Amino acid sequence: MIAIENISKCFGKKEALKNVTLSFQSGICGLLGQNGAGKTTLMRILSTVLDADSGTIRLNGEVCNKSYMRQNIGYLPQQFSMYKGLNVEETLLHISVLKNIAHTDALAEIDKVLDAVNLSDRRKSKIGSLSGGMLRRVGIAQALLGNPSLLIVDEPTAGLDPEERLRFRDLLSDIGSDRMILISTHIVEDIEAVCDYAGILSHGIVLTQGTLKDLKNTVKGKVWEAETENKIKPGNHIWIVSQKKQGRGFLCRFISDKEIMYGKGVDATLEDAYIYLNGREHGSQ
Amino acid sequence: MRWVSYNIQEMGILRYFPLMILCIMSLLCRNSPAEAIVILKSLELFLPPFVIFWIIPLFFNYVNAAAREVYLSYPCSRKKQGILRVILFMLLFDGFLTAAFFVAVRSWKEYSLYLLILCVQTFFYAALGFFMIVTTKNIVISIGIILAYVGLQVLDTSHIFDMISLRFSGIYHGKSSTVILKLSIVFAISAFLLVHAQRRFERLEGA
Repeated sequence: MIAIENISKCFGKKEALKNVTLSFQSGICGLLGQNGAGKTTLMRILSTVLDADSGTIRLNGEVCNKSYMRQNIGYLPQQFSMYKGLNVEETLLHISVLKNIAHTDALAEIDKVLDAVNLSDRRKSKIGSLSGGMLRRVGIAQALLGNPSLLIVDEPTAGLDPEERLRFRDLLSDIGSDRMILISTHIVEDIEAVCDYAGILSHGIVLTQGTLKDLKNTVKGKVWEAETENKIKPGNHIWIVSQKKQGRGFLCRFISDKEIMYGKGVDATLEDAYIYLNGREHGSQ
Repeated sequence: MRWVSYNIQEMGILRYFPLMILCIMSLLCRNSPAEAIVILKSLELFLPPFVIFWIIPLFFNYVNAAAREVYLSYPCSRKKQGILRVILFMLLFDGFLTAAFFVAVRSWKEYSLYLLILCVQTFFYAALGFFMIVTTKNIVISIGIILAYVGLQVLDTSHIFDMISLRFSGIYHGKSSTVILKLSIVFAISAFLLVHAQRRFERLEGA
C-alpha cells in the first residue's frame, strides 16, 4: 500500500503539486492527467529523484525516507536510455551493482527479469540496436531487479506503436500480479486496459480517486449520444466527448449535467469521466 | 571491480586517451634518457589534465537527461557514485603514471619529487573535472573550460598568471620548501573542489 499525504512542490512561482493526497491499496494503479497536470513531478518525488517541498509518503504503513524508498522501488522514467555500447546483460549487471545486489544473485535475477519481459534472446544485443519497445522492456527489467515491492512507471506507452503498446500493457498486467505498480499516463485506454484503481490529477490537484467503476459512476446517466445536423457547441454544463461525421450530419457524444430532451443515454467510459471531472473543475468544455 | 570494468566500457574511445599519452611519454624518455628531464618538464602541463578523459565520462549517465533520473533513484549511495569513483579512477591514473615513470627514467628516485608533483596536479584536474561536470552538466563545456585553462598556462610564457598556474618547472630546482608550499596549496584547493563537487552531486535532481 502506498499513501501520499499532502505533497506540495513548487518550481519558482509555479505550483506543480498542491497538497496532493492519494492512497492506493495494491495491484495496478493509474494516475491520469493531461500534460502539465503534475504526474511526472509526483512520479519523480516518489522515485526520490526530486524532493517535495512538504508532505509525506508512506509505503506499507511506514513513513519513507529516501533510502527506504530507493530500496523498495523500481522506477521507469518517461525518457529512458542507457549507455548504447553495452549489451542488455552488461547493462543489467551494471545496474545490479547500483542496486546493491550481490554478483552471485545478480545473474539469477537477470535471467528472471529478462524472462519476465521476454527479452532472454536479446541479452547479448547492444542497447543501441534495440527498438523503442524493447528499450522500454529493458527499462522494466532494470526496474524489476532487486524485486521491489512498488514499481513506478511514468508514461509507459508514450512513443510506442500500437502493437508494442498492446504488448507492453500485457507485460504490465503480468508483472502486476505479484507487486504494486503505479502508472502515470495521459492515455485513458492504458488505464482502462491494465489498472484496478486510478486517480485523476489536474493542474496539481487530485480531482478524484477510486476503482475504475467508481470513476465511471461519477458520470453515470450523464453521457449522451445524438445525431445532429450540425456540430454541437459546448455550453453551460455540456462537455463534448466526440463528434464524428456520419452521413449528412454528425454523431455527437457529450456529457451533460442536466436532463437532455434529444439523444439517448449511453454507458459511461473512463474517458467520459475524465472529461467531465476535468471540465467541471476548470470550466473547460 | 565489476563496476569499474563497466565504467571503463562506458567511456568508449576516451578510455584510451590517458594510457596513450602515458605510453608516448615513457617511450620518448626511454629512447632519449639524456633528455628525459626536458621531456618530463615539457609534459608537466600536459600529462595530468589527461585524467579528465576518465573522470568526466564517469558521469555520462548523470548529465544525460534520459538516463539521469533512473540512476538517481538507485539505492547505491551518492558518495559511492561520486567522490569514491573519482578517487578510484584518479588513483588508477596515478598508478599508470608511476608505471610509466618506471619505464621512462632509469634512476627514478631522482625524479620522485617530480612524480609527486604530477600526482598532486592529477588530483587537481580530477577534482576540477568532477566539479565542472556536476556544475555545467555538459561534457563539451567541461572539457573545453579545462583545456582552456591548460592552454592559458602553456601560452603564459611571461608568467603573468603564475598565481593561478600549476607550473612547477620554474621552482623545481629552487628551495624544496617553496615546492612543498605550492604543492600544499594545490592539494588544499583540489580537496576543496572535490568536496564541493560531491555536495553538488548529492543535490543533483532529475531533469
